[in-house]
Amino acid sequence: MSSIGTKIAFYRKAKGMTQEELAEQLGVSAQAVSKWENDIACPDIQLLVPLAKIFDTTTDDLLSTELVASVRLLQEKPDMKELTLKVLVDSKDGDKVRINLPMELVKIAMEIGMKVPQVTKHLQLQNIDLEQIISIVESGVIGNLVEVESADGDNIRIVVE
Amino acid sequence: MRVCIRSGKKGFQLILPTSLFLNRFAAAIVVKMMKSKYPSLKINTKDLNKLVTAIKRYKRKHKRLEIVDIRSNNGDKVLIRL
Repeated sequence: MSSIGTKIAFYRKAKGMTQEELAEQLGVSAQAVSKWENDIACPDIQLLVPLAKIFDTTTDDLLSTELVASVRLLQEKPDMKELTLKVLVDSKDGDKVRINLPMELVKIAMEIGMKVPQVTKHLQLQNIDLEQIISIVESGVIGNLVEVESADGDNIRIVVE
Repeated sequence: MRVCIRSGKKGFQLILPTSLFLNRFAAAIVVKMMKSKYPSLKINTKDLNKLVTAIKRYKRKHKRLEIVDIRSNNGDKVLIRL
């Protein structure tokens, strides 16, 4: 599942725009864009068409729940200093956890022997091999790298972008 | 760094100067605490200084980045912003 906020954030970053730049083009505040991207608020219906135009996509795509371009292969070796590891947990009860960590920080943390359970006690995250994720990213693969949907409806994603 | 916690109608916001805890002295204290709590960690002051430098660099590039954003279905919220 992908929310409109996730899509806006994805397309904005893909276009290399900042929240301020997008806000300026749409005539809204940067805080409004931030709220859209964090799924706190939704863009006004009148802004959907301009949004789709800016992102070179359609309003259908923005409103659909299908994930966009889940994994991308970069032509050049990515700069770890520029990447962010995002852990997104959505529970069936409506609880939301968003963790954004600099990839460089995760790499150093792994080097000094930190493991995921020391960061979070979430059972489904305990088996995720972050070292493997780092090596995948270093080889140039970024995007929605891990998606776990548990039987009780919890959804966990690890995205590098 | 800002730490915002809200539970029901109550909540508070802490605004902490990053330089207060992102420095070599604080790193040394953290290393000492971590070594006693997690003996398996191969952490030392040099490694933690690398972490501190990386956080500082990241903060300069991504101001006000939300590191942690936890929202429960009953409206409780924990937000940590760089």
